[in-house]
Amino acid sequence: MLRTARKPGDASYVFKAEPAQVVVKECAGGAWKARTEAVTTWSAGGKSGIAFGGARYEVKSLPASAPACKGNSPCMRLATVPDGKTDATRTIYLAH
Amino acid sequence: MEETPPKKTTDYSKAVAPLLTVLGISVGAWQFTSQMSHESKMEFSRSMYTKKLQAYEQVGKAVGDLLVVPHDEQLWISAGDTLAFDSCLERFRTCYWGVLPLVEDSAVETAMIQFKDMARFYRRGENDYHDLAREGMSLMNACNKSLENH
Repeated sequence: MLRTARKPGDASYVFKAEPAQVVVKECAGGAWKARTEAVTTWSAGGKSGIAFGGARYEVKSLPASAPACKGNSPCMRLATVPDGKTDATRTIYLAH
Repeated sequence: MEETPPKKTTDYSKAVAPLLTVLGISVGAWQFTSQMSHESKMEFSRSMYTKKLQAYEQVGKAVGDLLVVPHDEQLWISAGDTLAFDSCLERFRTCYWGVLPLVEDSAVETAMIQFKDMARFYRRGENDYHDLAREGMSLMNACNKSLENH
């Protein structure tokens, strides 16, 4: 199970291997609202990763020295594959 | 003996001659218009190729400038060179938003997005120099193919 660091404006993602799913908690109306999404794998154009909530993410393992990891190891980054220039890349950092 | 009325004959040659003239003029006009249209298209294509080449050269320069910003021995961005990197990144973003949208095809657009993201990851110290260089080469290859297929 991996969980992201929590701060105002962030969402919390709790991944489970079996069954492959993620519980996404987002702040809405002053309260945390949770939803569960199924996690699938994808592969296209020589790239691969996981997909959930209608978005495809590339997965990269980052060194603990990376600023975003704050010394945590293992540390992983999920980055969305943008669909067009104006589609901002969403990045999720995961750490134990 | 009864006289037979003279047969009415029509002189078609009088009608055919102007018709042929009109037809000739029409075909000539069509050929002229068609030729002009073709040349106009060719001129537009040549002009677009030149603009594409100039835009891709600008991108190449911006990518090259980013890749020559020094990195440390572990191939991470040097802390002392982030200002230089940011300045070069501004130039790349100008190409990204201001120059390329006029000429790029979908493969170049995808490569531009991937390089922009990789530059950001490299700047944060999440990806190393090899990753940035690889995306830079992919982008330039996409530009090259785009010119070849023009």
